[in-house]
Amino acid sequence: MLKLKNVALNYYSKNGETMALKDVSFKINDGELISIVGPSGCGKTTILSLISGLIKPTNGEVLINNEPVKSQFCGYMFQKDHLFDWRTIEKNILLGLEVRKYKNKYGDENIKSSHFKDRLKQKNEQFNLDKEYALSLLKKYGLWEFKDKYPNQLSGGMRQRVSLIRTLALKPEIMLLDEPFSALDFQTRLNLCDDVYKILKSENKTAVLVTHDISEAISMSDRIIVLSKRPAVVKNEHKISLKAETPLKRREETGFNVYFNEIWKELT
Amino acid sequence: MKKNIDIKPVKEKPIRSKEYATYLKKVKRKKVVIITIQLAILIAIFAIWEIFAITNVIDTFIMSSPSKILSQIAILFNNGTLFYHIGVTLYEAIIGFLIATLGGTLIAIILWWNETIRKILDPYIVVLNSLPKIALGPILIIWIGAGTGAIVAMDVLIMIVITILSMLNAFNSCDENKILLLKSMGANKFQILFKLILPNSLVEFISVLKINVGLTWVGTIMGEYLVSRAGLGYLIVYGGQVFKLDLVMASTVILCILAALMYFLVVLIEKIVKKKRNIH
Repeated sequence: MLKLKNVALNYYSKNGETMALKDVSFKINDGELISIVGPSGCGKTTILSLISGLIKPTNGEVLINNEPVKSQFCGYMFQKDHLFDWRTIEKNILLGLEVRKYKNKYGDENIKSSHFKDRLKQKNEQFNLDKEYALSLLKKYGLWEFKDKYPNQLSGGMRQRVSLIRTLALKPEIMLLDEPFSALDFQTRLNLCDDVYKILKSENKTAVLVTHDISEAISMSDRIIVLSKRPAVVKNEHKISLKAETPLKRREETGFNVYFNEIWKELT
Repeated sequence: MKKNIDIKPVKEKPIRSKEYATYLKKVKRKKVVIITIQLAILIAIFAIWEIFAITNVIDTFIMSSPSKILSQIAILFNNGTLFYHIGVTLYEAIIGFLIATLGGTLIAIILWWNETIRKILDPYIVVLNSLPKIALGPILIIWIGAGTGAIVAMDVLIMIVITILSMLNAFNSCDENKILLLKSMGANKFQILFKLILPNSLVEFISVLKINVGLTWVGTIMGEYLVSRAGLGYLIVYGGQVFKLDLVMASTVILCILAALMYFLVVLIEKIVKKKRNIH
């Protein structure tokens, strides 16, 4: 479970002090997919950076299972896919695993031996296990045949799916999605929403989606958190109870527009 | 029935590939035309030069001539000094090129790594960049001594500052979110450098190679003008002093050929790397 308790954040620069977040508190349960919407520049992305542990709050606490966050807990997905052009799809997906392989703290619970050779052996075994898992994700989500291709040989939607799998390969407890669909055309976007939703749900991931697109937020999430303009506080929370199975079908439900109008009014 | 099925694809294929073949032919013909004209210009220049020399339109004492250049090269070859001079200059050019390119890149990495050092050194680099490096020639000779060392140092000076600036620019132009991505995976600075910053700057590195492969000849010849007892730059200066224009021209021609060969080598490396990286 993820918890933000009275989180405040100030930015400092030469031109002065900016109060980005004033007092933000909310909880996310395991397996829940929530969206954060708010006026532009209200600090939505800042909240993701806080959850990922890359920046520390000026005040308040960010807790995962009642412990302060570490960066290893989170998986990031950005507006751009940020695949590395010089790596094949397979190599791109293994990027995170390579990074973790040589980290000292890797899997402290599993690797106990103090002998260097044993540790290295265990690390390699762990890496191979993780690699198998990553490759199984590729197979599962229909990208296996592209594993030896380079990113510039894939379409935009496929590239985003690869970047999602790259993140999932690290088995993050929480997925952070920072407007991951906004760089795509509408058609691809709707399809990818469905794909990502399915993947997140079938892997049972807790996820936080930041978006400026209200429809997207409603169609994908279990709950929506509405932020005020800067300095941000939580203005309202909406529990979304739409029954359809996929975001695309949820858009057609009658309740959809009710939510849309409510949130729209709160944002303006 | 069976015949028809067999014939159909055979009939269709040549129709499509005929147009494609004409297209390919066109492309190829254009390429041939360009190369032919390029060669023709070269031959024409030497031919006109030679004809003017034979008919005494120009004074070969001042202008030399292609046949005299050739016989000069033959003289150098016969007394065994041709490859000696080429070797000396080539050695200096390659050593300078390697030191400046690798050293400059290493310094750029250090400056990328530590922002404070970068900010402290920034004005010095800017001044050093705008300074005409040849002005440091006398200092180099006195400090390092009149020899290969001073020539290589001059060569390195000419290339290293631009190498540092170009590579630093390439390192810093990396997308911030890509760095954030690696950080969110738990990467340390070494991993960011080796997994992202360096491979991401490969294209810029190749363009630095291309610039330096030209500049290294500038530096080497300039160094040899200042101080040398051997090398193509020495031959040019010596030839100028004793008014042996044949020697000056012969050395220049050899220099042209060497510079071109080295440049094409870098272009070849570029092609291989780009093919490996799948860049078109």
